[in-house]
Amino acid sequence: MAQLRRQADAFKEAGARVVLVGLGTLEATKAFQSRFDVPFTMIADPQKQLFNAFQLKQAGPKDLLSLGMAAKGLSAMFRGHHLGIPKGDVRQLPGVFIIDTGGRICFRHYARNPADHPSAEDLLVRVRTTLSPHASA
Amino acid sequence: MTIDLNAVQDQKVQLSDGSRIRLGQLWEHQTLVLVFLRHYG
Repeated sequence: MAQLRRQADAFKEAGARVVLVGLGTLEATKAFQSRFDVPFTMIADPQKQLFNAFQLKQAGPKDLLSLGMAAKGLSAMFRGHHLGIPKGDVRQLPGVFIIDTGGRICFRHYARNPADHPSAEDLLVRVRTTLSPHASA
Repeated sequence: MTIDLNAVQDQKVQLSDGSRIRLGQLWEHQTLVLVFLRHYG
């Protein structure tokens, strides 16, 4: 999230709109947006209708309790990221989709574990490729 | 995995400002980066 927030202007300049989907209720989503100063539109999806429609996966116990995950959590904490008590389904894995104006999914990323996500820079490259006049349909 | 965007685009979603829109509106005029978060916390 912090990475995306730092690149908010770059996404705007590239001509893309970033929208976040969260598992929380409307109230929880508003609170999250305010607390972390989220500059993007957010969707509240507490019933996981969108998560299910986009076929996002669930993590297994090994993914949640691995040493690798603990190391990534500690690393994030030392880099100044806030670690709080999780709200929502902790097994739900994240994902990212880039959809063009023709309604085509040009990029999709299904996380293999809770810490698996593309960098904001990588997403910007994908967006610019999608918006390139030479991009194939 | 196949996602049927034609079916999904008409799904109503609730934005954080309380408004409800059709999902497809989000990519009608602009490329959309749709980021699914893991959880809040």
